[in-house]
Amino acid sequence: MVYIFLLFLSLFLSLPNPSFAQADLISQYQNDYQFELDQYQKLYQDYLEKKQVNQKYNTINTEKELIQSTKSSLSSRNQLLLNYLRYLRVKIDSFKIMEPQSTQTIQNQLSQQETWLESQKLAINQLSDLPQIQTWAKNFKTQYVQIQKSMYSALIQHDVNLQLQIIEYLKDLTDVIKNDSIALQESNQWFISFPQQFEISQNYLQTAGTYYQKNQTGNRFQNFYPESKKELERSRTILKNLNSDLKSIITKFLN
Amino acid sequence: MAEIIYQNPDDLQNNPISSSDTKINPKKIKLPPPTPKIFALIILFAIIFILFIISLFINQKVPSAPIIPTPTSIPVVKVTPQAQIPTQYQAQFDQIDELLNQQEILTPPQVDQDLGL
Repeated sequence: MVYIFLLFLSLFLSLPNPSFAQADLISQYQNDYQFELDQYQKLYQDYLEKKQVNQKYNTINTEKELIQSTKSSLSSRNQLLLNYLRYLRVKIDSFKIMEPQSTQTIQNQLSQQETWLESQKLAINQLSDLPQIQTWAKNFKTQYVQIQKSMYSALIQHDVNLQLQIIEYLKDLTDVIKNDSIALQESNQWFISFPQQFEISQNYLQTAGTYYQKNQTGNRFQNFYPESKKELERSRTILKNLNSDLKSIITKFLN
Repeated sequence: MAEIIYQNPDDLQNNPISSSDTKINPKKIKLPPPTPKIFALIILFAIIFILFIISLFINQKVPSAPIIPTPTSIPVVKVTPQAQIPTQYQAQFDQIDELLNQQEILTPPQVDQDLGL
């Protein structure tokens, strides 16, 4: 009986903690991404050289070498994007609890793009001449608009989730400090602006989130990230100030 | 020996071939009387010129003060020493600080979209 209990206990302890498992996965995908980024940069440099040589001499041999080099670069770029999307999909899980529905929608979009990129591995392998490569590259360019949209949407949603989590922690801490001691009753007037500041910050986050919901038109990606980032930074500044104010209040009234 | 008669090309009055001295009468060019349109135009230009002269006297430029760029206000976050924070709140503040200063997520890779085109 004791042995069975010990067996179960050891099994339970050996199970990985979900949060640690997730951190490991993020770290793994991040390393994969960094590795592929190096690979891509080397292969891309080789592609540029081969392209230049082919333009200069334009022989069967130089064309053959260019086709091979282009295929290697395309394959590496495909893998690079795939690794990055995987990293993003797992990374935005961290504070998903703050806006689960929006985050899940973006994760689904990322998964769709991952599936598309996966399917292109074989397609790239089967390319055999320059016209075929050009046709594939045109298709990719159209698809890349949607890939970029998913990427930047994920970046924005992650920051929104993170800041909403900070707001929640700050609100909880404010309530605890307000109710903590009688001496702090005097400090109540110091908290008057807090609810308003929280609301302003949340409004900025809401505005930041609206940018990625707009549809992309045409074959060029309209980058909404810089505008959204401004809103996110405004919100972050408010939160930093609130955190600092809270520290000042407790050092003033409790020390 | 016959006398050779030369003509001086520079002197119109000294033409040895011609029997009598010819006099060139300068033609008097008669200017047409100004039409009402031209007259109105002249008056208009005169008015503009007068106004221009007046404006020179009125708007005498005063050397303006040099434009000094004003610094934009940067929000300054006051820093409270960590040691001054009561111990019971230290952990919560540490958690918030960590989230506020969390390293940013990796940005998308810059790839050549025209690769293969």
